[in-house]
Amino acid sequence: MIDLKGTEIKYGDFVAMHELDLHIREGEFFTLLGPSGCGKTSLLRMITGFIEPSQGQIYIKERDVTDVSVEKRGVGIVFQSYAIFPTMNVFENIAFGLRVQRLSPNEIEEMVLEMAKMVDLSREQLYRKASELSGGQQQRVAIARALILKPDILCLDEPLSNLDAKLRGQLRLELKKLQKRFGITTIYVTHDQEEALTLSDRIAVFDHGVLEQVGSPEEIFRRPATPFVANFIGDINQYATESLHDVFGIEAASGELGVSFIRLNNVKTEERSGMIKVPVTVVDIDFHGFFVKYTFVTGGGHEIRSATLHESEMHAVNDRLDIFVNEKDFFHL
Amino acid sequence: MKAAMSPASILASLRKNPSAVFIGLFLVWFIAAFLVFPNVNFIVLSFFGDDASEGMIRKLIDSPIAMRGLRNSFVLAIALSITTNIVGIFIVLVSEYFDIKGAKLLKVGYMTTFVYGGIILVSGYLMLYGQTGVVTRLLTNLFPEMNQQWFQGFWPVLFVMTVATTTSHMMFLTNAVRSIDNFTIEAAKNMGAKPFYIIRRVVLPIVMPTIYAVTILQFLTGLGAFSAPLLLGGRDFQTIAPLVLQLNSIPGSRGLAIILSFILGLATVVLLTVFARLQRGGTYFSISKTKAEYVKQKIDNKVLNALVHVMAYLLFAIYVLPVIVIVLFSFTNATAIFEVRFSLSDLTLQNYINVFSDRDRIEPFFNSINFSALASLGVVVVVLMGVHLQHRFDNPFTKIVEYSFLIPWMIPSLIIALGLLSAYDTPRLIMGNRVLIGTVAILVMAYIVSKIPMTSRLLKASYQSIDSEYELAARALGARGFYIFRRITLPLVFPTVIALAVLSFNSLLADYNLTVFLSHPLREPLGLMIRRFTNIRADGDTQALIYVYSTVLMAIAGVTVYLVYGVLLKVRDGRGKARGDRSALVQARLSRVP
Repeated sequence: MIDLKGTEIKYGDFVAMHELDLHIREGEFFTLLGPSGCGKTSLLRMITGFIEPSQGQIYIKERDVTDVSVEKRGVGIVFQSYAIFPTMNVFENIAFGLRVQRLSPNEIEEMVLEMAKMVDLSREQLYRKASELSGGQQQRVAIARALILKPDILCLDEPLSNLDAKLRGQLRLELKKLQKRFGITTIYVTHDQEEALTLSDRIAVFDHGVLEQVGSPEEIFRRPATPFVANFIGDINQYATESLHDVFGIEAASGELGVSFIRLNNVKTEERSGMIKVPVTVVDIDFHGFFVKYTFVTGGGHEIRSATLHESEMHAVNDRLDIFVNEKDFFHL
Repeated sequence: MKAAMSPASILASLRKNPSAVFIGLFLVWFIAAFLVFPNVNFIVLSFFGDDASEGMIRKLIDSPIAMRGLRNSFVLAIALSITTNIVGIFIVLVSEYFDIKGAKLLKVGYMTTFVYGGIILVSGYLMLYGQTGVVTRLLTNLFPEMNQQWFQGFWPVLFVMTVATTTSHMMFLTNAVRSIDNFTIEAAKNMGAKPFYIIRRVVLPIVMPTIYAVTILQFLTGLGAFSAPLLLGGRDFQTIAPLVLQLNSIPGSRGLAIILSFILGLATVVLLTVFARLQRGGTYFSISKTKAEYVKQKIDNKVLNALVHVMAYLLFAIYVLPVIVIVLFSFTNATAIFEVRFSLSDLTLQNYINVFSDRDRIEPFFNSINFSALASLGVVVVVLMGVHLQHRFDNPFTKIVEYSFLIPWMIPSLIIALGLLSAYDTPRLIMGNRVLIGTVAILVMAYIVSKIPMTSRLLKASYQSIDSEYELAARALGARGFYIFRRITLPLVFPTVIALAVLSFNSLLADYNLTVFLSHPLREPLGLMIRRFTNIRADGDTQALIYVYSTVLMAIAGVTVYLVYGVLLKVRDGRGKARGDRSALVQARLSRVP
């Protein structure tokens, strides 16, 4: 569907995205994930046609679109601010692209009404001013406006980043529903790992303009390819591999160079068969409602963190207890 | 959205945008003909023209009138910087900082100079305190021996200039005071600081950069003062600007006028450079992550509280009295005005009927409306072209346009007028070999030139506040250059464009400073007429005429201020755009100081 072949983005001497090869499949929800300044928005803008690559080619449906202007690439865009034109009502916003194409008023009305129905906007809402719309309605208008020209690809540039946590959760669900309904190839930019994990079919993780890993959310979470991905996705315990014997008494990996990780949810406070027991003392407790994060120290002064569901009675600071880890839950990079 | 700056990409984008090339060519001509050539020509004339001579500086030094004018201008500038700071800080303290009863009413009173400025304000005070003024007559009834010309010279000029320019001071400082983090004041209180200690150690240091910057603007205002010294200065207190007007009309003295104007211009450029540095580097921003809304402070000491209240209302009276008198007497018959008598039986609409039914009396009014409307339309069209070009293309040409639009800001109106006069008193190729002197066009062009910096600054701020994603979204939906301008950009900046046109129209309506040099002899504008009537020994009829003109102008200005601040800029803010650049709005007001 989309193929980037050796593309690079430069601003003067600064390389925003190093040489990149990437394939995005038809119909998938593909997320570009990374911290601020990692080059993900530049990459999206390059795919949409707002910036030109300094080298390499962009193919959409096997057509080289590297030098094709933005409106001819068949890409619909939803911006971070939604960019709903404030001087127009909802109808005019959705109809904007159709008017540019000089379609007849009847065709325009028909298409706008059909699209409004698909994104759950009522007739009455169509004639509201942009300023009267809620966050969710704005998102639907922006998506409807982008999709009415029947693009092959929908690009979303951090559309939830300016919203409060509760609304963000609601709109995330709505966005997923709409994407499934339209079945359109979607490229989504975010710095929020949780958003990426819940929405995406596949995720590409970037750091400092370099692609670190591409994979399904589960692959990214369970088998991170680099220390950066391991740290960036979810909370994790990180140790020098050679120290694992001192901390957990694990022999297998001891003596090896490198970094070893174990996720917080894999550090248990209840014993299960075949697990390694580590005596520890509680030094800190973070209560998060549904779950609790504990920080422990071993007898040798090493720190271990865990996250457990808040089901039974909580431990207290200075409690001495045994924690349990499974050797197969460690991964080494 | 902006194109890159390499010559190849500039050429490529120009090929794609023929309308931009056309606009660019027009701007090149406009900037060359009206912003650069007249001023360069003026500088050349100052040193090498027929009126210049090697001994020009010697002539200046030897001329007691010129030297006194220079000295007076600097004395006025220094004194005005002090008085406006005292009055301005007091006004902001009572209207914004302290919890004063009726603060909103006080503020309205202090802001009356928004609706009457320039020559209207000076003549308003003259009608009150001048030789035939209301207060003077009341006083001479009580003290027949008193000097009827008491309201003349340095102090009246300083008094009127202080009243007139403190509004601008207040606008700057109010913004600064409102930006103070209330937590810092509460922290000081918590540590036992008293109210005036907090002002001295917490509030003033925060607003000090603003005060420095405003002081420079006030200094410049004092330096370039025109109608106040002209009407109130008398023989003994003439400053540079009125002196230039006088010398310019005396054969053989034109060189002296030019060199005086040049000194004024030079001082302006130097001080504005300092101002720009202060504005750039000196502002303290709150560093707290959770800033608290500013809360008004109570004065706990009862005696002090009463004293501050009395002073606040006294100042209120000084500001409001001329307005009340002007409006009331505009509805009073001539005899009652002359005898300074006011009763319900003297109320009449006859003054208005006299003005509006007499072609000779109403014509200057329509002349001014005509010229101001043309100029305000012209200025927004020219600036819209320039700013839109800057918005679309980031290249050396648009940078030159941007900076050229600021040229008139650094040049006193006096020099703009003299520059145009000296540039277009002979046929010039750049003007199609036409002579502009003696045409209405030269005045309208001067009006346009004088309003360009303020208009471009505000319009640029408005353009910058447009979310760039609107235009990207339009492009992604297939729209191109002019379509995006027509459907997206223009509707977004339109309230600001209209607001700027209205502001320019309002401030030009009773302009005197440019008009006195450039007006067409047969088409007298209002400013000149008011000056003419203020100049002669006013009887009741003449006074009534000025009261009517002033009231109508105040009504127009009142409607203007309401339209701009109450409607247009609120519409713009409602569209999710940044608030207006207040300092630029203040600049709009500064152009009307007497």
